Amino acid sequence: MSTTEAARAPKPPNLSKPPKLSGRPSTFNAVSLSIAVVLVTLVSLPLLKVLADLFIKDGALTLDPILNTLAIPDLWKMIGDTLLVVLASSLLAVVIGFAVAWANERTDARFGLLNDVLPYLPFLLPPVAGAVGWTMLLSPNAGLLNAWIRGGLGLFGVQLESGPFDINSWYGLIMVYTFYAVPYVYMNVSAAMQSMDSSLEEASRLSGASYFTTLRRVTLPALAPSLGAGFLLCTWFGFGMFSIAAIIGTPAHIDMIAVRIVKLLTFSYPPQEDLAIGLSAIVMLFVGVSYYVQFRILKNSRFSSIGGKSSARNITRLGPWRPVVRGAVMLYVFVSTILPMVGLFLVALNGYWTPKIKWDSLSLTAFRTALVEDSQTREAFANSITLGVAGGLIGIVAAAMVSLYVARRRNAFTQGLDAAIKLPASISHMVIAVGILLLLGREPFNLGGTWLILLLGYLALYLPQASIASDAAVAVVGRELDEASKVSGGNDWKTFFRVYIPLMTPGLVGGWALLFIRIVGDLTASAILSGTSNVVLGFRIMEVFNGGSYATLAALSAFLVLVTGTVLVAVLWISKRFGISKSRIG
Amino acid sequence: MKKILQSTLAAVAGLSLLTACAGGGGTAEPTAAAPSFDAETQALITEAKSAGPVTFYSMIDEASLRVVSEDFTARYGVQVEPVRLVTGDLIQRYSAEAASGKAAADIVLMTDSPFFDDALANGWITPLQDAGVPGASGFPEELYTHDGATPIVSLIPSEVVLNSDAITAAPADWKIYADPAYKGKIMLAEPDSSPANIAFWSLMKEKYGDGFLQEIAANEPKWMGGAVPLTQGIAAGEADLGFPGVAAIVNNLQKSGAPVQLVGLAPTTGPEAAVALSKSSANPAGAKLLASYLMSADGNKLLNDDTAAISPLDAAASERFTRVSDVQLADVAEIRSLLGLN
Repeated sequence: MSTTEAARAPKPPNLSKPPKLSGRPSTFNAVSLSIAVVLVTLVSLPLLKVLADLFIKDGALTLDPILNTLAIPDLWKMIGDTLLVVLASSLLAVVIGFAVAWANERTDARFGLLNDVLPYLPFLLPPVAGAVGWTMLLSPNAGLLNAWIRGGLGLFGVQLESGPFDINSWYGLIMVYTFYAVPYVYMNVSAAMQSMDSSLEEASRLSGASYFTTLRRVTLPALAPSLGAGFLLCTWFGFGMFSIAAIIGTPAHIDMIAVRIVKLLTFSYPPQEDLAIGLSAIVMLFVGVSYYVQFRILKNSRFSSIGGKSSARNITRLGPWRPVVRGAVMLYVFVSTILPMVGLFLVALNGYWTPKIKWDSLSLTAFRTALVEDSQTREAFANSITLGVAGGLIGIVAAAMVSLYVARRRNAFTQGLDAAIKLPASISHMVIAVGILLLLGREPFNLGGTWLILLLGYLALYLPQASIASDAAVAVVGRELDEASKVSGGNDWKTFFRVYIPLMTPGLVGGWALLFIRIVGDLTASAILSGTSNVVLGFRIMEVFNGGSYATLAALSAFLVLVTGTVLVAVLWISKRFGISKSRIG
Repeated sequence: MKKILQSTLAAVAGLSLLTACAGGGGTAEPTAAAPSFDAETQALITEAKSAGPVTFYSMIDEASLRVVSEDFTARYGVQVEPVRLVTGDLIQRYSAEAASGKAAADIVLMTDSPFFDDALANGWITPLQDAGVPGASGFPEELYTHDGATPIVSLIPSEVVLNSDAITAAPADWKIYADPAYKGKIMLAEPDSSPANIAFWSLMKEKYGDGFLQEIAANEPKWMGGAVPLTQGIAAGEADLGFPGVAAIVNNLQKSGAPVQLVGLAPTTGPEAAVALSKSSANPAGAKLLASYLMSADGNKLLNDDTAAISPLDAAASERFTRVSDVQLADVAEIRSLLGLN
């Protein structure tokens, strides 16, 4: 392991001089700080503009946007609906994410690599396709699943005209939000479980504590930062999600703030900015509360899970419960992932959505239209994958450096920097994308229509999510290793690459996967920053959706899942094979 | 900066499902090149060819945009680089690019809105009537908006969409939405999901009275977030009848064999598509030629035939279309209330 190598450093520490500990200027710190400042600059201009507009109108101070927002007749219903959906789905996601991570990481119920990948799968499907997939399955009259269930019940003499399920309902909306939120929790918690020292749990059990007491007193506190990070990401996702809310929530009369903001901005020209800004401020407030909760968890925790000594994970043998736990995990994966994909796939083969699938005339026409005949889509696929791989790598390394920089100095400046980097999650992505086009698309940068502007746009939008993952990854590494490396003469770069990176690998791979998926499936920045000279997949997906062909959308999405899923499997396999195992030596 | 951001905040990303409009997606063959041009047009052609392709931003259906572009190229020999975005995205993008001093688009074709007033005030577009566009002076005066800056070249009517397995006889008038036989079998896009919807319901209120809207509310329609999920739902049989029907979406579904049909009724209204020329762009001559083509009898016919819209030059076809400026627009809250949404 790297610490062992660090201990063998050729140059013995000069004991007459104190070792260079964190806090001193170094090139590593300078680079980390520069990265943070560039990222903050990229997003701060449009954000500052939003905040300024909240209080300044035509050069004078005003409270109009706030007062007008508070005067929206159904404001409190909208806030209530939004909070209910976001909090319920986030809590459910924490429970499910934790349970699936526990089954996969700490018990003998795991299926190997397959289990690492499956929980990410709902993530691979762009939300607009996911919402369409569930609508096609569970619409009360024409939903495929409903039709099959009615058919099945008919065999037993139970005749139903519609239903039994209705996706356009509270439970339908919360369910789809939850499926999309679970990977955020799973990603963080499973990484922390991989790195967690199980000797504490063993000590607890040996001291006579029950499984439940050990879970409550030892396991959950140790996983608090990861659970907190997962919950925070879930709420951010929930507050910002538009397409699922518009497609599934609107027919159910569930008013989500994100949908209203978009309506206010798109209904007519000029957009009703003051109300949109006022509502964005409410979202920022909620996101701020979530962030504060996460911050308190990180600050108050005493959970350095990876100590300087080696640790081995203890796998719980489930005995007769093993098939039950396995079955539950597989059922969850089947319902959350396989079902909507089957729905999309069938509709793609049928040519259009109908409960009366023509089994004898299924064809690959939609796939041919979406993938073979459209050269722009082929080009977009290649471009998006390249951007996803490169952007993910650059983004996660940058996020790790910034997280480490912030974690080493918890003062007002670094906290401010950290909050500024995470802020984009709370602001309409559209505002940021337009801000970036305004900032970089013209003189002196002239990056309009280039790959670089897309890359920078993606990083600005999605780095907050990566930085939550990297924060949690940094948090599980105890400071003693950092200090041991320093005392042994390792400089900051060496400590970063040889101590932190190997130990953070599980979390960082998860963060990379998140960035990769987000970049490849991005719709917002792509619509604004992509064009004929730098076409990407998100641009094409919206094109197909706006054109109204669910079959082509389904074909495109199914192929997207296949490609991104393959990349994900390959990367997770490589990280398991070479990353984590290497970091456990010694 | 304030103005720039104001005009660029108009928004939307994948969110544009709320604003999908227009388009047919046919495959018309490019017409043969015209044999000769007048001196003015010939000079523009020469200048346009030397400036490279014309960058053409539009909100019409992608396939139709390609058909129109190819026909223009076949006639004038000038290449076109079409970019298709929904109007909300187009406004965002065009504003941000134009604000940098040099617009990427030479010409824009999109839903008419007060955006063009801002674009004129900011010096992003040039009044088309005075720009030396061949044939512009012969274009009907009443079709120019924003003081002659932008000609309306396409009227996009709001239509009925129905499931042709469930409803075999085309409805004769809009009253079908109030027919109790369709209670629970109607899907409507939220009235405030687009200004065209508000204009339509205002027209219905004006023609048939408040009671008509209340009768529709009594039929308990399912409210959808936009035209795309609505049309798909009708095609799948989730409901029998919907509004609004969008030609591009219906045509795509029909091609796949879905039992869905568009029915045009009178009176109707809808978005109007206008052409604008960038004041500072790479190929102003190409933009003028393309504008001239879209305003010409042949070009305008192809544009509207292929997008299943109404040519404003076709007096008989436009008879059933009430221009938005002629509709007495009702308050959004009132429309929502009458339709049982508040």
